[in-house]
Amino acid sequence: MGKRGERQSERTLVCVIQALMGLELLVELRNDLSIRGFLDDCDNAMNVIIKDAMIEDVEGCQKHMPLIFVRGSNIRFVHIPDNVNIMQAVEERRLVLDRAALAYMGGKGLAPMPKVLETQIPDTADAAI
Amino acid sequence: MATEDDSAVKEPLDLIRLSLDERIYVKLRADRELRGKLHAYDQHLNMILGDVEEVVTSVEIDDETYEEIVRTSKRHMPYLFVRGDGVILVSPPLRTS
Repeated sequence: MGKRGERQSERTLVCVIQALMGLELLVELRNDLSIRGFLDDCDNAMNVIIKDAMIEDVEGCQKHMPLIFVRGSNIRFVHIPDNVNIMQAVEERRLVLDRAALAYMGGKGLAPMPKVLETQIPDTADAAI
Repeated sequence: MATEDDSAVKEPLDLIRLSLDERIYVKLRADRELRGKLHAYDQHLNMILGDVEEVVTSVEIDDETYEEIVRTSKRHMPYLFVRGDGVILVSPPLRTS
């Protein structure tokens, strides 16, 4: 079954929002603004980054913004898309994080060696020494 | 979404736990009310409600007669995440009949 509730996010319902990353949803703010867009990122404080956003105010005025950061405290509602099985999404994300943690720290608790990128710029300072 | 080790009511949040999967009434800040089925909640009172009706109440004062005009607007949403800092109270639905 795995250890549920080990992560800070899993002790609150923020994990539900985090499970919706990558999906299109509607976020309503405390100042009555509605933002429809793709949830790019969500942290434990419910701060969100929304991509390709359409912002609508109470009067119906719409504005498009490519990338928005919203402080979590400003959120009133998050409309969860209809076609999403939320319990499954949360569980899947938890398994992905567990597997990632295991791959990273499996057994010895040492982080694996970082991959050398092919585009890595050669360190000229070393060559000078 | 916590597993229930003890079904005794020890603290106020346990009363909300008794309402899981039941229809509830939630009073929010900014003169809003929600009625829906409680799917999940946490200690911040973040909630997931299903089949929700939102009622927004606004009071306008007529310039000439100074009488209060109470207006309500309703919305229906299938599945909603409510952030806990907006919640004032949670209750079984009021019988309005």
